[in-house]
Amino acid sequence: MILNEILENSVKHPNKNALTMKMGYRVHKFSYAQVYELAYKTALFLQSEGIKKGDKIIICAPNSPYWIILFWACQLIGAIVVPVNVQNTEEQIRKIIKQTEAKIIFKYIFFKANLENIKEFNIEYLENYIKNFNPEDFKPVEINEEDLVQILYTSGTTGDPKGVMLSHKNIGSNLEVLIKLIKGDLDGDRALSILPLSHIFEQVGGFLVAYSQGVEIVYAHSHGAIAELMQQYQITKMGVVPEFLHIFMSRLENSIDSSKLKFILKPLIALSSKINNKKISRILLYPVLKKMGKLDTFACGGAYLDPNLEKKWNNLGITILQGYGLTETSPVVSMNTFEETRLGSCGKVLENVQVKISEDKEILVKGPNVFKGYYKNEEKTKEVFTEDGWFKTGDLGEFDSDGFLYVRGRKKYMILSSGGQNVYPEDIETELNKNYAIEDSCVVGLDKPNGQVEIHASLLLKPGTKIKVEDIIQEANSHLASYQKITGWSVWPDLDFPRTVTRKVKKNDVIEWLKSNRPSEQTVTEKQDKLILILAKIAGLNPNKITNYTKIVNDLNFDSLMRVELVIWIEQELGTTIAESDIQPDTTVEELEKIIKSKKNSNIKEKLKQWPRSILARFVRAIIQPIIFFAAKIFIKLDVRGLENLKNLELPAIFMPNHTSYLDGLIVEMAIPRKIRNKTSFAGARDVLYEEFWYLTWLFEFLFNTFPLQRGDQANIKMGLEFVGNMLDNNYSVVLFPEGRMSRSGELQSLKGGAGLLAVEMAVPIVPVLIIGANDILPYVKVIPRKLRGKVTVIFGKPLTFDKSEPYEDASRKIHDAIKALQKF
Amino acid sequence: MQIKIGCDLVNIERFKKSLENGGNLFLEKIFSPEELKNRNKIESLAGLFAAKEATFKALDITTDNWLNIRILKQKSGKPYLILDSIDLNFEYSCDISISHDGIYALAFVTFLIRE
Repeated sequence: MILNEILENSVKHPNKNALTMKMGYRVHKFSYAQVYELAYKTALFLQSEGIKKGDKIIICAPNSPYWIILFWACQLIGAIVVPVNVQNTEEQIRKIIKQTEAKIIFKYIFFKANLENIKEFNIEYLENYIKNFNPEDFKPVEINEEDLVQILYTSGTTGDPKGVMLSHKNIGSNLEVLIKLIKGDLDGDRALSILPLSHIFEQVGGFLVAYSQGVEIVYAHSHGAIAELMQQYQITKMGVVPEFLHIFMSRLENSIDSSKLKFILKPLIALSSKINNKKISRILLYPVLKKMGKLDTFACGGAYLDPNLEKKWNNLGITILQGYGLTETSPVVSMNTFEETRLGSCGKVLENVQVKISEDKEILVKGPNVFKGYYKNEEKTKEVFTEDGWFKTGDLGEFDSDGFLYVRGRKKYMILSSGGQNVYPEDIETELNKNYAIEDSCVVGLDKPNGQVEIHASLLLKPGTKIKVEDIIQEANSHLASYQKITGWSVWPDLDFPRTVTRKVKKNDVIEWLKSNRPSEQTVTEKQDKLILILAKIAGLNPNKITNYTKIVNDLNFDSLMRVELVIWIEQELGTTIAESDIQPDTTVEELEKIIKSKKNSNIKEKLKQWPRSILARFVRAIIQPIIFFAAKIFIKLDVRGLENLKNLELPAIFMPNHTSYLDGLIVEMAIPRKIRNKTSFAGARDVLYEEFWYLTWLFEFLFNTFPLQRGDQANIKMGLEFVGNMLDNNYSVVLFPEGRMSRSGELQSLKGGAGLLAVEMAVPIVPVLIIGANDILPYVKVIPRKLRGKVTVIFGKPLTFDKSEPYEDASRKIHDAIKALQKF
Repeated sequence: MQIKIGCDLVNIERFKKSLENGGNLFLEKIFSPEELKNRNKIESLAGLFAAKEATFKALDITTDNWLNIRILKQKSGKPYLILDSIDLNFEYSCDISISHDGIYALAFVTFLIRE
């Protein structure tokens, strides 16, 4: 199978949503037909840049619809994709560029590196680069099964990254079986993608399988938004790694523990686990599950999954499909299916894949999915194949009598006990992780000078736990076989273990650290406060040197760079946003802790009110608005011009009128044709409509579908922009005054950068509007009219559209000039 | 008439380390997408950082204002400075100059103020 067939077949359902993502302030949806067209245009663009079949193109960007479009474009012309994880260091990327001789790198705007000998493009501007190409000009390039789709650099825990060459046949053969296994089961599904597309698991499971079935794929724009997106899009399927399931489960458990319904929910979960029927569980546990949209299945891979954790999810009525695979096997070797699943196993081997367990229990794989070799690295390639062509996975495993595969972990991390028995670290970790005080654990074998092996457990304790670690070890040891017993242990001093992209613990790094920093076994330990660990990390100090009374700036020498880092860490690890200016020269750790606590409550995100757009509100508005307008017309003689400019207006749009009087809002609403007005909202200055006239807020919201727009610094503006984006996403046009404040002289003032920002980032037409005469009736900031009746002229200008790459200042100036030019109308 | 000046020196290696630690969150906190658009080199970002820091010093304002100072480039490549939503209550004109060499980036900002 050639992957391009999936793209060609996708036009069978042209209007279905293929890819959805919030980018900037707007949600962008791409249908299958749109992706198809954009892929062809991109292919032409790449050709115009001199790219030919076999050339390499690096994609170094987070997931987005553009990533997918670029991937397809490369397949169309036979270019080889080199996906690079955004967490790679500049040095690693240089190495990859050198080895692959890639001609082009598509990077995201926040990726900064000094690269040489490669042409750089920003993936965010893809649509700009390709806009002048016509898909019909494309001349097909012949692609066959043996051609490479990509060279995937593994996040390998040791040494230099290795480029895994994967062909159409490799990935296609895997896809064919996977599609057969889930056939029909994905109709009406919606998938949320949270793992990087630079990883084969997400690429095949999250993208290609879903794409071939016409599933809508939603890309998470941030990790903080995952829960919200699951609800918003009623997500049904997700591909995840075990650590995600672990964190998500702890959060669910916490929310159940703190819930008022705790006394009902806990027995319900117990009951649900006894009934063992997913449908009934879903009904019983609705209050818990509703927070997760319509999620019914997690596909899980990438690392070892604790069966206890899997069981907990099953008890909630959620299916976990665990599979086993590697980048080198594109990727799936075995997996559980809806029909056949067994707790703790990685399922049965795929029908076109062969698996053999070697004498020393290593999993060996043969099949069309097995890769061609490491790029320009014959030596390493030779190392991983047996003489008769089996790929040595480096993982240990065994089959049960029914053919289910159980993976026991990496061969190189297996510990050969002093008595000669095989000790699987995962078994011991599973035992340790049962303890409530343990966040995670990492068990490794350390060679002792006397030739013996120490079974060493490094523990990551939950913050704030005060516990005798010896007790934890003793408790675990009492459940372990004699040859498995932990003989040495330490408390991991950092915030987390070092981890790979799929959040697997980098055991090599742990071993190295343990060897060089052999920590003493404290008998009683108090896990340091997270904030102290963060401060220590940034300052590069031992956490023990920091106390509650340490002054952050004066004692730890925090400069402005470090303060920015601190604010980011606090945001990520503690979930609270503080201002840099909260950290004064003599702020102590204890004081900062207090500041964080006090902000925690005020950080709750304001949400856009929904009621002004409810059916009832819209219905009543449709009746009342004409009455108000009729009454207003007694006092205002309205002359509306330029209506022809609104005829072919693409909606939604943003109307930008000048502002000289409190009457302006009403006048614009009256002037906009009813058809557009019915789906229009109004951005009101928060300090006026929502604070000064707070008692009338509801009335404005009701009459004009008003929402607040904050003036002032950028951080506060952001919320207002989110609202504007949200309105436009719901197909509501927006009226807003671009000057930011009323003009005292009546002359058009220079526009704030915000107007240009809106015009560029919202990607909708901007309609310049000029109001003349309103301030004759109701002058500047007055609420009592100067005269009872007057003429007001409203002129709509030609809609303006802006390119994504346009500087905001230029856009602002153009809007300003367009409004001004209407005076000559 | 009053003159206010500010200067700042940034160690590019230190800056790069912060960038690696904080990733795009770090960039988002400090730079607008517009500023990042045509700047790919670490040293020019370090220069921008220095320029913003120099502006804080010149105007004696807090470091919460990273995003309220935008430094863009004229066609010739000379940088210019825009203050957003920082209410100065006086007319001003300003100029800015950025340089880098080796491991340091340096910026000077001058404000000429009519009170």
